Amino acid sequence: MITAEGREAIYLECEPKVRRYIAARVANPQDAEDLTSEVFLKVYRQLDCFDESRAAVSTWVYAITRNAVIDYYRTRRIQSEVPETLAAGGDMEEAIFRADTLEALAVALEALDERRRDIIILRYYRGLTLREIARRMNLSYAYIKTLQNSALAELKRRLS
Amino acid sequence: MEKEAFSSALFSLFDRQRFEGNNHLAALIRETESRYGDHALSDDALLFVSAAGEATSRRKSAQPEDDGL
Repeated sequence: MITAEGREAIYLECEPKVRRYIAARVANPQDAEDLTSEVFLKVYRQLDCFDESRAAVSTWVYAITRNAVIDYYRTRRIQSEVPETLAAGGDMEEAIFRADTLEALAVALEALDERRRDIIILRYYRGLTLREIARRMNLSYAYIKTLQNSALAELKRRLS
Repeated sequence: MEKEAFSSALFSLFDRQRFEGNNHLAALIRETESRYGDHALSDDALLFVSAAGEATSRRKSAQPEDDGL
């Protein structure tokens, strides 16, 4: 059973992260505010089921937040589909939720040359298409695609 | 790991970055954004932003060949 102090500590640690994440995903400020409140209602409702031996609180709250945003897109039909940068997951779920994976990604990205690193960040963080990246970098689509494939192979090798 | 699965995992990792804010990764992202500025919002995303900055329900056109690995 988590005490009132424990709940407050979770709120203080995670509220800025939840708010920032939702603000980046939901354009309407009122909807973003409502969604942030909904996330903490869910967190508090499910808190007694949380197993801290399996994941950090922050990781658990992230999963709830991400699912809440996906539900928001699906139920309110803001777009025809959930954004590509949010819908992914699949077989890597476990690795994604490991605390050290983001640092490992940073180290692997840093090992790439600047151009290939930029392509990966613009594609996978910013969600630009390869054609958009080609326009912004003033390079051909075919060349950007080649550079991306090379960068992905290198990242995969370093992260495996 | 297949290319598509790895690609999917990268999207998820960068999504988690939006929540966790790993400092090392954030610095690399800032460097890229400094080179490409705040116009790095995708054309696709711009379709869904109205003049007031709010998302709209406009349907996007699919370009499945665009980002094949």
